[in-house]
Formats: sequence, C-alpha cells, structure tokens
Amino acid sequence: MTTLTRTLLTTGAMLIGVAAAAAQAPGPSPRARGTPERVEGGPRKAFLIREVRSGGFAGPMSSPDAVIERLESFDANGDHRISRDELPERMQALVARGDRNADAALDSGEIRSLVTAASSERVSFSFRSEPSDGLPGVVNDLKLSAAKHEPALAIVSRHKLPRNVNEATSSGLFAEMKALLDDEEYENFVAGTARLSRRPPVIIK
Amino acid sequence: MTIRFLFGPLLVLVFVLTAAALSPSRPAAGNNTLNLPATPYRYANVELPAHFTQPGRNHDNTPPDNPLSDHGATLGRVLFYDRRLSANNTTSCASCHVQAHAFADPKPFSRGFHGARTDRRAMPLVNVRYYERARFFWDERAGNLEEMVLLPIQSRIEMGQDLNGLAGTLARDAMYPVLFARAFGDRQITGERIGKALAQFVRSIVSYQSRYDEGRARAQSAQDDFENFTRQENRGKALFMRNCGTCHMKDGNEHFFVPTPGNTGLRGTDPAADGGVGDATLRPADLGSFKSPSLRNVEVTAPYGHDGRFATLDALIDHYSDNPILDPNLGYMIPVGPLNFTASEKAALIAFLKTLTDRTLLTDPRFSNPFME
Repeated sequence: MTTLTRTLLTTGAMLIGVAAAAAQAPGPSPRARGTPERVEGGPRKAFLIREVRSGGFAGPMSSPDAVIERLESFDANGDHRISRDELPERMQALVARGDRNADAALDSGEIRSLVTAASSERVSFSFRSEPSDGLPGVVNDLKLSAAKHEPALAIVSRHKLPRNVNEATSSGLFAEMKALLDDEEYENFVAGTARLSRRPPVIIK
Repeated sequence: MTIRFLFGPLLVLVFVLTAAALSPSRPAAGNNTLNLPATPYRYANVELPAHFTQPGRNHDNTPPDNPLSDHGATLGRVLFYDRRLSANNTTSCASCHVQAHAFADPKPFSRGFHGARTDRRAMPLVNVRYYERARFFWDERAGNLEEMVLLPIQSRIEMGQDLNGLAGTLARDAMYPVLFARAFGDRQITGERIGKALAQFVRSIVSYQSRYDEGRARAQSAQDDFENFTRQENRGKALFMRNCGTCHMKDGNEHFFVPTPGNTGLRGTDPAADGGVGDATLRPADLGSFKSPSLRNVEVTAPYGHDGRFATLDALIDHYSDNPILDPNLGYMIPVGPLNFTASEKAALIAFLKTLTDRTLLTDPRFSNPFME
C-alpha cells in the first residue's frame, strides 16, 4: 500500500467516523463511556477521534450525570437539596444562578436544568499533527558526542521507525545502535523511539 | 555548670533570631511604616528579551483601562503586603503568595485569616500578565486580573474583608490617599482602584532573567542547544520540547503556560473529587480540567498541582511518565499518555526545568515587602 493510498484511506475513515458520530448523536445526550474510537493510519498517523460537541462526545468523556453526581456529593445533610453553605465558597454563586423557586437552594430539578444548559454549550476545536523529525529527532535529543552523533544519524537513516519497539529491539536498527551507544544512551534511544512509535504528537489548532 | 545552663537558652535564642532573619518577608501587622524609594521603582516599560517581544509573541492581557505605571504598581505592592486587607489584620496577599516561592504558597492548601484551610493552594503569580486568555484561578472562574485580585480579599475564608469598609479604612490612613493620588490622579479610594493597583503590581511580576533566558538570548531559536547549558540541561530541553512543549510551549510561547485548561488525570475517578473548571462551568467536558501555572521558577513552587499533591518535581514528572491515569475526561483536549521516561531522562528534564529559575525575581526589592519590620 503506497503512502498516498494509506493517507487517502485514513482521511476517508476519519471523515466517515466523524460524520457517523455526529449523525448518531441525539443532541446533548452523552455517549456511554468506553474505549475511544481509534482511526489507524500507520504508526505515526493514528490518533483519537472525538466528537466536537460538549455533552455528546464520542469516546470516554464525562456525562452530564457525572456533573450532577459531583454537585449532589455536596449534599451534606441528605435532604436532596444543595444550599450555599454546603458548597465551597468558590461554587456558591451556582445557587443564585439556578435557584428558580427562590428557596435559597438547588433541588434535583434545578441542578439538572443547570447542567443540561451548560452541557449544550458547544466546544469547538480541532487537532492537527505536529511536525515530527522522526528517528533523527530521537538521536538529536540524546545530545551525543560528536564522535557518535553522525554515525547514529547514519544508522537511523537506513531504518524505518518500528511499529512495535518491544518486539523490534533485536532488529538491525537497535543492534547497530546498541553497538554504538553506551548503556544509558541506548536505553534513552529505545525509550525515545518507543514514544515516537506509540504516540504521535498532536496539538489543538 | 552555669555556662552549661546558659548555653542551651543562648543557642535557642540564636536559632530563633536566625530563623526570623531568614524567613520570608512578612507584612506588617501593627507597624505601617513604609520603606519606599524616593523615586519609584521601575515597573512599566521594563526592557524585556526579544523572545518576549518579537511579532506574534505579545500575549499581554493588560486592559486598555488599566495600563501599568510605576506609581500604580508601587501602590499595588503596598496593598499586596498590607495585612489590613484582611478582616483581622493578620493576612495579606503575600501571606500565601510568597516571593521566595515565585509568589506561590509552599503549603499544599492555603490558609485564610482565621486559619481555616482553603480547598486549593494559591497559584504562582509569575508572568500572569502573559496568560492570554486572561482567566484566573485554577478553575478560571475570574474573567480578568482586576476581578481576580479582589475575590480573595472578600472571601469569607481567605481574608474576610468588605471592600467598602476596606476603602474607608485606607482613606483614613496617612499614606494611602497620597499613594492613590500618585497612581490615579486623585485621593479617591475605591474597591475598583484597589483592584486595579493590585492587578498592576501582579502584572509587573515578570520573570525573564533565568539561565534559560540568558541562553535563549544567544541562540537563534529555542530548539538550538544553549551555550550556557550543560549537556544534560540541553538534553532535558530537547526532551521537554518534544514531549511537553506541545502544551507548555504551544506555538513557541516562552512563558511556559498551557494556553487553555487541561485535564491531565488529576481528578481520577472519584465523583466527589475537585471538578476544576467543571465546577465553575458545569460542562461535562470541563470536569477535571485545571488551569496550569507558568513553569517559570517551577523549581521553587512546590508542592505542585491545585491540591499540592506532588511534593517534588520528581513526583510531578512520575505522574506523567509512569502512572496509568484514570479519568473519563483524560486527554479531552490533548492525548496525554504515560511517557515512560527513563531515569536519566527524568533527571535531564528536571535539570532543564531548574534553568527556568529566575533568582533575580525571587529577591528583587521591587517585589518585596515595603513595610519596615
């Protein structure tokens, strides 16, 4: 499979995933907690896709019920109402915000209304991959002596990033690096390579 | 024998006097005598390094109606250290925001004027001027710095003051009307002006003279090895930029803020645990997110986290390196997984983080207690 084909397939899968998630999300109702959707696109392209809507997020995210549960945890006297005094000072303004019947407390209906209103607020963001300098970057991070730096770069230039470092430590790449580096340097090279293969850097746009 | 009896108390006396001399500056309780320079210290128009001022790097949150002035920040400094800002004259802003600790609280949970414990620790106040979102507290409930500085004063736990009453108290003081006149053009004292002056002082606390800044000034880019760094520090810098810089140096920001609150698994799965930003917004997505302070001077701002749960930098890095982190909102903004640093990588990271310490700021008289003890 060529890189171009793989990229196109990955992009298509991402679009289908996002569109399907958006189509299935019935307003602000939460998706059950579970394993996040993962779109595989090769070892350095995979990242988590999550729905961009607060309260209806695909993937593992707190639901409105979690916020309600959090608020109800302040009900010290068990009367199913949250008064100002039961809340930390920093949260006491919530009572004025949600107390529709003016009884100086939040009952379960008022709590649910507050949380439902907050949950419907949209949260928009997007991801983009951060440029990566691959295995040469891992070598640069080691800050090797001049005598080792260029040979190390030459070694990694002859190899691809392994998909699974744990299984690949006996491969040519690691054997050559082990012969060049001391124990500490080699350990750090393996750790850096593992991070690179396991978790591509992704940032918010 | 007599000498032996005297030696013990004498030793205790020496110890007590030494401890008192070395303790962080404490604001005056009964003594309101000020020790201010004849010409005010320079707070405004301080010459900052290019990596703060180049195009695209201006993250200043100073509002147009409260520009920083030398007299304004001087007044803010006096207010910051004045214990009369608390209801029982025991607690000032500086009681919890300690200069030697980059204006953070060295205690896991800050304590108020009656000794009651708050449920979070006071955040460091360094470079907050450059937190572009201009939202403050761990949960970002304050929408600007002028608002933020007034909330602890009025808190029933922290300082317990009534703003109008405080303005009246300050108006009857011999020094404050003069200081307000210098700062604002007339002697009127209001809660709004107290907030503006305190905000000016806090915005003036800018750290830019660390070893990082020295090295950065001589380098073409932050990615280059710095001449003044050891190999270990440069290695730590490279590791930081590759693994931590995505959040802490987003778009090359060298104030080392995370630009938005983030969830890094501090809440765990306990439904009663501090909800962070979610406690203020009630949005499920915000549950467990917290604002992050600048990493500048992180060496001296322990313990770390909103609840001070990490006593050391080692413990803090271990959290991101080794622990399987459980939280349904984890990585909502950015995937944060166990980074599995080796021991020598952790040591390099810590060596780098210590280059962000600005010793000048930690002892700068411009930011010290102006009251004579």
